[in-house]
Amino acid sequence: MQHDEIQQIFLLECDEGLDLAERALLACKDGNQDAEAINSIFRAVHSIKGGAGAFGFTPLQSFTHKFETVLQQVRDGDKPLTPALLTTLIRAFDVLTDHVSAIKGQAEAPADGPISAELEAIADSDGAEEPEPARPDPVINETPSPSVADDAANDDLEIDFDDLLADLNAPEPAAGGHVIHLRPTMRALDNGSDPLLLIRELCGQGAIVRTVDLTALPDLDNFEPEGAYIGWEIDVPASVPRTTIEEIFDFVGEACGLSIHEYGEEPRFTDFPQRPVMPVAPEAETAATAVPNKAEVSAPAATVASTGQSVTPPKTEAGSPAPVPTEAPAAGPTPNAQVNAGPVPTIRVDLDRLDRLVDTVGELVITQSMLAQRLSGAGVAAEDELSQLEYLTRELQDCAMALRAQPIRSVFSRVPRIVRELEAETGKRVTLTVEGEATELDKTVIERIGEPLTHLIRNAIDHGLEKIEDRIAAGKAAEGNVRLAAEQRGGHILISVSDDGRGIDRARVFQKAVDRKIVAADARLTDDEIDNLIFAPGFSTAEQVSNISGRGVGLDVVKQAIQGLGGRVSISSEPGKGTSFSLSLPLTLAIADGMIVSCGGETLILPLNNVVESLQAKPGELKRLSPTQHVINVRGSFLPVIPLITSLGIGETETVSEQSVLIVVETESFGQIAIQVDAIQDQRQVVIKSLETNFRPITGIGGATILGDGRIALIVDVEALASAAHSPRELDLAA
Amino acid sequence: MGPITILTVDDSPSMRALLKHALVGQGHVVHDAEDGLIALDWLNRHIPDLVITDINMPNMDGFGLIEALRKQDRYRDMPILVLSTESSDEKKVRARDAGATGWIVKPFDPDKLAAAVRRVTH
Repeated sequence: MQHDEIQQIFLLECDEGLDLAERALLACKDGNQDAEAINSIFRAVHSIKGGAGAFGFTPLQSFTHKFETVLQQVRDGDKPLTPALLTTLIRAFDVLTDHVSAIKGQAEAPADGPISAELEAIADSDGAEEPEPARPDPVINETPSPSVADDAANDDLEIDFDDLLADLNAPEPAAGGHVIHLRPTMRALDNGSDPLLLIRELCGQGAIVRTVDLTALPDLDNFEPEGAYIGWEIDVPASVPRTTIEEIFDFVGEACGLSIHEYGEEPRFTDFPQRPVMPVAPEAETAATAVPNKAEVSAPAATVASTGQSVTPPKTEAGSPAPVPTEAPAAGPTPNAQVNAGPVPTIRVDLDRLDRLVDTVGELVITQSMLAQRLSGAGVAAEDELSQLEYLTRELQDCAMALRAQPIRSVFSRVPRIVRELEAETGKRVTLTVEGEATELDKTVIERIGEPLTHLIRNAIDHGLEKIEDRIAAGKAAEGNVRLAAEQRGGHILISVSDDGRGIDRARVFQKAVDRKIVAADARLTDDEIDNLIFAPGFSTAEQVSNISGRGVGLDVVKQAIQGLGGRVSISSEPGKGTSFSLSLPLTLAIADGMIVSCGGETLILPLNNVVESLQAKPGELKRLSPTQHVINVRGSFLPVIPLITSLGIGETETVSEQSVLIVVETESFGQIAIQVDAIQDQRQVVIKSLETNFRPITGIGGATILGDGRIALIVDVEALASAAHSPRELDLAA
Repeated sequence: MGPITILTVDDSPSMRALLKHALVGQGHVVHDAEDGLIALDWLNRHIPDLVITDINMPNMDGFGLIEALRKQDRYRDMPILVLSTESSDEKKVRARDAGATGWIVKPFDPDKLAAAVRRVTH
């Protein structure tokens, strides 16, 4: 595994961590603060800090450190989680999110100065601060002279170090290395520690054991197998800085009785009190005095090692005369790997490969239908096999599409923050309700839905919701409600953004549209038509641009973005009660079920998602409104009839007769309409090929596909067809 | 020191991956676990030469893991290194009391990691 890949894992982990932390923070905000919530925020931040350091993201690391310090104090109960502190934590969280975006290269590193200062001030208040560990200045000696130690070790203790150092041209006597004394305590061998390993490491760097003190060694009767009795005096050359020594003994320095001295300034090793740390029985003490006071050695590391090993005891219970083997039936909590099995295992796949799979499955669908057509044309009876093939192809396609599907949570999870920011900017109070986060959409849709959705949320809060005083005056709760919901309905995903604000002021919208010359002043528009004017290009203007939803782009951009994804936007609004935007998006951008129809000699596809039913008009059901406009009475409701042949300009005007086939389709904005075609040919899956990328966009046509016989057929965009037929004005605008 | 078997315990997948990358690169055999409980379960069935554990983890933290292991005879003397972003003396004392053998500060440099491993394994 390469470093970059690990870094990718880290970035994913950051997202997960932020997600967890945000949920926990919001739970706290809602009054559900418990120890686990705080702990999970702490862990998330802590984990990000760890990775940030490992990958060299210094600003992120330093920010998370400050954040973590405060979180830790809250977790440990040193600081009460007051609403003010919670607000600070949420703001810090937002900055943290920005930091993470910055390391992903998605944004500039945020200016975290003010919030950092705030966090530090909180951490330092109350004397509950976490002291920075005192780090000694690294003393790095530029003139390594390992031979100092060699020479020193080969002489006896009476050597004049000053002379020796002078001979070696050491610039400063103080820089000439160190002498360390080790007098391990009885605990030095606990927990699998072994000072010998540390001495070996030092020796590996050129240190020489000068003296081994065996004075504390008891006689055999009093010998604790796990006790440590030997003291060492070690010369460490100047090439080994003091920090390295401290690092080596970092965790066990105390247990090893470590003391570090400048070369030449060390106390006499024998000046130490004998057996300073060894609780030995009195009689043992007497016995121990029989041992020679000091053993002088000028031993290389190996000798010391063997000496050390000879006293490394077999493993028995320390301090108990008759070690009883304690059967330890896993004294800790019972582990249960199943319960805590963690997330479902996943595999990361290159997106290109995934796309290739989806493309190939698309081609397979085409080939399968070609094959079916060829076989039936040749009179081969292979229906069972063909239907099996079709079934398998469809399964394969579903699997491939599922690979590209992602829950919309990743998009929705950005919304709470946007809401918080807007609350701060507008002074409004907002309760956000989010539903259907688990709804899955195609990855491409997920990637491109974020901007439009953000825009709608901003719009809802900035324009939709009233100011607090206006809400109260209108008899509403001070807190506005914004609801964001996603659900799958048939072959579509519906996403709605609703608010309980003032609703669209239709008189103002109409007036504005007239001012902008979007509609004629004498136009008579329905409420729906007026509402839809806010999507018209050029409706949004500088006059209404605020910091928030303005930004110079209007809702027309939202509409374009959604249409670019093969989706629809619709709006419904009730004065005084609120506004709701609905986005309808296709489940997949690649394959759709289609009804193949013929019309004026052309073969066309109607997306099956839109098709409600097909019918032939019975006598009397067709009504003529004008020479070109008909409606049909379908079980009591009148639907407009749209002849495909003329609306797409395939042929000359054709009279709508009772022999025509009418296909009733459901549209998002205009309800049901009946599309008139010559005949229905078939119903099958089609692979959608974009017209925009391969040719150019055509109003009324959503895309193209390749039929089983290799011909190209156009896919009708039912929505655009309905809208063109419904309001010629809009068609004019588009033209 | 030859290759040894190491269990790493950390709830962060990237940290586990980094540890594995570094330690496998140094010739060791590495197993990993996501938290103290999962580690303890694994350790009931296997005996590695060394455990390297994070402190802050869900379900069972590093201190809990070390304390649980030290209660078992077979783990009483096994080296256990703590890997932590913290370096406060207070935390180190806590780790020592729990029974840790050594301390590695996150983020680690692979050479320092190797040195820390050498310091506790024969």
